[in-house]
Amino acid sequence: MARILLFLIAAAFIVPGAFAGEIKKVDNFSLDDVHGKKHSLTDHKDAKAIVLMFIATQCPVSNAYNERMAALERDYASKDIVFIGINSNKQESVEEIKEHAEKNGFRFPILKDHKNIVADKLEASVTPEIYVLNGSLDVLYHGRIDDSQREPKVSSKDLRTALEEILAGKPVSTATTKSFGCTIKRVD
Amino acid sequence: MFSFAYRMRAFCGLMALVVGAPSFSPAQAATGRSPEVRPLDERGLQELLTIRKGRALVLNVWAIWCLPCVEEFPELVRLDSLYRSRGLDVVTVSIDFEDEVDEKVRPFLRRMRAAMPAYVNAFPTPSDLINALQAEWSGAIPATFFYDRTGTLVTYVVGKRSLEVFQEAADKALQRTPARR
Repeated sequence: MARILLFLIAAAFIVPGAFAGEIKKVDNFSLDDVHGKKHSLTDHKDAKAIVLMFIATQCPVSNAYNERMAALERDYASKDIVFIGINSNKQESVEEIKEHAEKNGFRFPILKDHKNIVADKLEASVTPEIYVLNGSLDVLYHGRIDDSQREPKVSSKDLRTALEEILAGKPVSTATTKSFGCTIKRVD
Repeated sequence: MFSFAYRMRAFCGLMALVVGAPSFSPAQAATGRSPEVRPLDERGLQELLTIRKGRALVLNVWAIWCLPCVEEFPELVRLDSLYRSRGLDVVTVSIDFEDEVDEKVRPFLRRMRAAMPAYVNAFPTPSDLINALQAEWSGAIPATFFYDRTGTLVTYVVGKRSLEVFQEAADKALQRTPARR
């Protein structure tokens, strides 16, 4: 029992830190979207923010956020914030992604990361997983969209908060968050 | 927030942990009784990791909606039956919602004939459980954590894994510290 108490006392003084090796800046990359159009991050150097969203067609967690992702893009596109979806899952085809995007009313482009090159560069591992960059490609926010797959249970709208802070010219107060999600299925 | 029945199960689970009385029976699944699923919070996790009684531990985080988790689950059941007598406990932690436990999680565990202790995440937020297990873990599931006989993390793997991978990591966890005599 004394051992447990000592452990609990010690644990009370441990503050969970950010990810070890958290990416601070992203190198430019170019990928084709599902319609064959090439997109580069440097196309958006004048944007107030670039929101990269690693998403999936088959992951139930990612799918739970379909409406919220579409709404985010609708709410912020007119405020100079660019949304880009990235699909790095090996088993999800371009045709499937195109159909999924149409069905869910995604207006943002979805890039197919065939060889996980971008997922590897950013060390993305889960869907949905968000990176918010500035025009210089510095990472301003990395993590979840919000804190619950079930929208009525959301108490912390982390991505919206980060975007509002960026628009207000403030530093992002919580730059890293985590949540559960589906593993990105990489090529072997 | 939690139902009365759920709180009672949490209380019973906590009491069982405090007195150290194992309430999971390997025969439970075999007899077709509905497996118990206890809520796991910060205190419960720390107790699980500190009261090892010289036994190593494998902790798997999964969800019923996660296909790779469901696919690898039989391997965990096999690992449990192969290693229980060798000084290693296997436990599973579902991150499904509390109100899905009776309808989805327990029937699945029964179908799997899973005799190992089963928990459902009761941490306040997902990141609390993620950071409590391993701050570097992204939260992608399935994820399986291997602890030695003192409750120290030896290694963890993310994504669907085979029985061979589990056995290799389990052997490492068992070899890290000698068995208590």
